[in-house]
Amino acid sequence: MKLKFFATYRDFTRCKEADVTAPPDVWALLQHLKGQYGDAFGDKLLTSDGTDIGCETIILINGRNAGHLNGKDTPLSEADVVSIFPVVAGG
Amino acid sequence: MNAWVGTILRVDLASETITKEPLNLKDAHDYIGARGLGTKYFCDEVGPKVDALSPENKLIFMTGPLTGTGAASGGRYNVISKSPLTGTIGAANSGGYFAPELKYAGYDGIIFENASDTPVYLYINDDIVELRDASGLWGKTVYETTDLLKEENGESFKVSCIGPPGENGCLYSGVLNDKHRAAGRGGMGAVMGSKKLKAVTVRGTGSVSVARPEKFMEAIIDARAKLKAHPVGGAGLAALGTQVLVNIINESGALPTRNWRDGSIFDEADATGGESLADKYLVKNKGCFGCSIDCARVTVVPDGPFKSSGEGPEYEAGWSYGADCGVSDLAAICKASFLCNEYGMDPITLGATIACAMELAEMGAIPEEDIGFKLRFGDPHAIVHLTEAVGKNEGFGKILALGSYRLAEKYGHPELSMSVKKQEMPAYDGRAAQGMALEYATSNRGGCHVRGYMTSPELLGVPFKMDPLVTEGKAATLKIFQDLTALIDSAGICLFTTFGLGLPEIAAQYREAVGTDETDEEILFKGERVWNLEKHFNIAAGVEKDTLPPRLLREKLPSGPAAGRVAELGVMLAEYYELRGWDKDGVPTTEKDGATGIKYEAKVLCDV
Amino acid sequence: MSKQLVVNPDKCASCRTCELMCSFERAKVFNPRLSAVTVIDYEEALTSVPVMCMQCEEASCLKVCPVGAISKDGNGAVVMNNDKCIVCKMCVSACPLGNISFSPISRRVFKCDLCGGDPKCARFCSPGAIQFVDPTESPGRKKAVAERFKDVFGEEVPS
Repeated sequence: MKLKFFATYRDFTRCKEADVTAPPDVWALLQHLKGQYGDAFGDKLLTSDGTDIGCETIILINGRNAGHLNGKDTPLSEADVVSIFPVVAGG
Repeated sequence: MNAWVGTILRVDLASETITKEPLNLKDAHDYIGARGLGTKYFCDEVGPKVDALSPENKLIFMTGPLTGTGAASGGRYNVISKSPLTGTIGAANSGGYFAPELKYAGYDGIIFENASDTPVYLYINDDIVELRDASGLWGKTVYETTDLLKEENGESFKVSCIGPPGENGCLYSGVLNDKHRAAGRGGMGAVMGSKKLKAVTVRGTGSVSVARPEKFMEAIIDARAKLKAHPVGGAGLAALGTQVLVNIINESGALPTRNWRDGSIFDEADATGGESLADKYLVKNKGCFGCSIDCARVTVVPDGPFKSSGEGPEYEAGWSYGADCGVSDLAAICKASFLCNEYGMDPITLGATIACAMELAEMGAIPEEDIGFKLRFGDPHAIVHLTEAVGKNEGFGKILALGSYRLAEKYGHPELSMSVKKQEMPAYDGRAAQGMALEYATSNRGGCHVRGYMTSPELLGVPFKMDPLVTEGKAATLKIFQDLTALIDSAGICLFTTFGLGLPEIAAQYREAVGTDETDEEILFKGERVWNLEKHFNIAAGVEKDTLPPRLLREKLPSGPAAGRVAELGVMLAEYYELRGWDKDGVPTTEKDGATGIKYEAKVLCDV
Repeated sequence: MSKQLVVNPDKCASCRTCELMCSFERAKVFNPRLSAVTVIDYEEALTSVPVMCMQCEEASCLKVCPVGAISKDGNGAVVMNNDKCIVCKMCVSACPLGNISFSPISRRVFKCDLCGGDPKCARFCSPGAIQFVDPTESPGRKKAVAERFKDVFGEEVPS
């Protein structure tokens, strides 16, 4: 499964993309990322109580915000592309 | 005082008479300031059928009550007139340092009437206000004009001016202040040029005071703290600027590509995004007056064919010259964007007009000899060359200077102009974000993203998430966003403060500055009043009905999360009109106006 | 050691919030000309520098004042007593840094007094270009310079 990192999150991952074996769902992916790239990154990805996707993080699965799918329980498969952003805006 | 300085300058360019008149405090109360108040003055004084480039049109510079105060990002003004591009009310908003200086000089706004025979500029040094000869400035770029006026009058003078495209009637030429800050959209520069008014330069040493100083300070401390703590309004925009949006909009399948022809995923988006800009060309970031967001980019392309420096590019320009023209060379995008500031042109419309020309050229609709070379999508040299051609009013640039609608119409394909009411839509595909489709269709100044930024909830999750693919709930949210935006624009603060602040913080700053006890809802309602007045003007002016280019309504997106979708405008529009209390054709009804207490005495209604 | 204002032009975004907040603190109005801090722009050099009184240990203004209106307070600030001041403006001339101003509006001389220990310029400086720090506690400058050396030479040191 393809992972893409953007904006200031590249400072944590030190890469733009990574290939991983698809975890069962978004929640498992977040745990994997925390383990892989450190607790500071994990703190950004998760809510402060560590129970959900953090409000400063946007996770797109094939372009769809996890919030419009099944949130942290959204299932993942090898064919998915997951894009991970800090909250950004502008215009 | 109540955040106003109390005086409007009225400048008759034909008779060269300058009068100082008291600010209309009743209108300032009802229409807030800047965008709303300027529009009210305009509608009272100018008929909606006026030819935008005739002397009978007026040009208004208007600040807001929060301009020049310590309010979060409170340094803005609006330039208001009838737009020569769209025929709608034109209100273009700009930051920088000019507007606060105007207030410190003692003026809340300036109304320019009629036209001069020869080039002039307006000199304001506190109480001294004079029209001066600008023959030596005519033909100069924005940068040159600004430098020359500072050289002549002193470094502390601020300058707002037009470049050659404004003089030459380019329909999307802007009014630029402090070199890089633009009242960019709708051709306010062409109106200024038609009056032979090259620039306004101002130095002010006075003060702006607020009605309740202690409470106002509490309100701004609260607002500034919340803005600073927000991931976007705080560190986010400072770090990567607005160009950071390229990737997330692209990954969401909403980045219009090659004149919206090839869907909304641009394979080379990352090369043009804010991350690449920061890696390659960003020198530092910068803030407008009184702003803590500091989104501006100071940028240098150090070498190569597109060696250049300036401020930007912002996201919309980065898109129009990037994905929309199929160009992935960030250096070329930077240079084209800088040229727009240097000459004083709206990069959204210009980039999108070039993209339209690229599509027309590829399909053989524009003869190659008209352009002078083989124009194709993806050519970095073409975007720079054609931007310069418009700036200098040369060759094919003369046709591009009229915008994509007139270009596409001339070559027999008006449907390929990606514009609403003849103004180009910016960088979000309404097929992939349905609320944005409704926003474009209903915007009172034609295709525009800053009249109700539905992208924010739909694609960015700020301040809450809305599913971009559904239509439910979009009309109601858009109405609130449009009214709130009208309030923000009229108050004289930056729309970006909504990346951290909501109505309570914005209303609190307004309340303590002007000394009112109105509720948040009553203050927001003034935004609705502004919106309805603009709509009344447009209807009286005979502006076409609210719709979208056929491409958005009929051509399905080929790929991405919104694959197979079109903009489902009809259903949202009906709901929107009902929520606004307008009839099924989108006309505000007198019943609604009466019921909500809006009473228009403006000339616009007398002419209907 | 008392705290002092430390300026880092690299971080200055030229937003003038310091000027606004200073003028409000001093005069309850917004007016950059009444501010004791001024941001100087260097367009060509792509930088801007906030300039304010450095609260000299050997303060010329204090020494030159003929009526003893200028003194040092407990925060280390060189402060002006407007009751004693005769507005002769000697201090304006004496300051080698140009950081004492004359207000044509109030017709008073004014300078930075560190807001009694909570300087608003630093408090509201969003990018952190103006900081109010104890120099012995926070060797920020030295460390920043050291880190640049580290970046340049660090990789050449065998590990």
